[in-house]
Amino acid sequence: MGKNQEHDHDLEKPSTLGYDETYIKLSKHRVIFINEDITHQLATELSALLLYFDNQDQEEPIEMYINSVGGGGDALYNIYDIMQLISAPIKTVCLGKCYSAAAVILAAGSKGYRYAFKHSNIMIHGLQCSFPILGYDITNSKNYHQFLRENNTNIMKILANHTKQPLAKIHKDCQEDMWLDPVKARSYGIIDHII
Amino acid sequence: MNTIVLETTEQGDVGVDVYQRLSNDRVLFISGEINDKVATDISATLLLKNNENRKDKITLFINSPGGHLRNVFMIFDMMKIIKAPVETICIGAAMDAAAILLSAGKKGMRLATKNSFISVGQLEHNWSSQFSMTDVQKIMQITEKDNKSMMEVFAKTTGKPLSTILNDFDRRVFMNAVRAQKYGFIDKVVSFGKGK
Repeated sequence: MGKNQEHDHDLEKPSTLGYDETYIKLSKHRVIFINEDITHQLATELSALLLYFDNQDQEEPIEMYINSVGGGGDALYNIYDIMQLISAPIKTVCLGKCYSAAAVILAAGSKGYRYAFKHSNIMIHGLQCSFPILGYDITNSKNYHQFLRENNTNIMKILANHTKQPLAKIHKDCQEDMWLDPVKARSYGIIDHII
Repeated sequence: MNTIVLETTEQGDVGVDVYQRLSNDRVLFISGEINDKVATDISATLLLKNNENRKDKITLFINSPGGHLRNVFMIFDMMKIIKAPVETICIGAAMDAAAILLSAGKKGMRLATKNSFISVGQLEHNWSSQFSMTDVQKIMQITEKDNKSMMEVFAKTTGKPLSTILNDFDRRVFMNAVRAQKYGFIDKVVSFGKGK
């Protein structure tokens, strides 16, 4: 929160070869690159950027280039909800890989604006968890288990909504990891175009 | 990830941190664990925004698993002291102490997005080292008092009697946005924009 970016920037300069400036300049063209796990921090940074770009112009599309292996459920909800809240259309592009949470973000782009590179790879699955938590008493565990099930159904609903596949089919497919190349992903409804 | 955006000014393009830029528009973010730094930053910014303008609302986006109660009450008290209305929006999750901040927004301005959730339980104490019996008793007393004040805040903000709150949150409870609205933690679930 409000960290001194300029200062960090100076310290990191030798190791990053000065490519940071590329991303700063790209922000002028409403371009966001996601190349890390979907975490709380990323979710907040992303929602701040999306709100800012939406504030600037509500017509011009925002471009999100994604190369990520996925991440946590609440961070995903954060990003997804903000993506749906703002008015500007969002163009999502799968660069190399979009697994689990990242695939949901890819599919949640505006209709007709979802792309994937030709040799990229996409994977969708249900909510993963390490359920029996040591030290949780039985009521806590019951509530938590119920909550996880609800969450899983929620994610399936989001996917069904954006891919236009029936909910039952999504449930069945997502019981195991489902790997898709761009052609399959296009016919499944996760993306609209292959670049 | 890069959070610096270019702003066009009279002197040409200037790089601005996006959080800084949004805080100019009275939009603040609480994310991750509420530690000393986050709590102080947010309290200071709330005070600044209140001093700049006491009429317009301040928007507080919350996605946090909670934090130390001292830090959370710091923000809570600041929210109550300032005159400017504070709008709270839960995106993602508001757990434990973060739920205090969510429910402490101005009545009618406490929002949550469709897929967000709230989780409330008794206060937990993280025993990180060995203590003597006397110290343990003291810590227990403080934690119990803290737990009570947390539950009292929930009773006040949700409008439910304290006994109900104590009974309901005896064990950890997870609520989605709709249930949280029914319970009184929030006033409205935010609907999505058109064509999405």
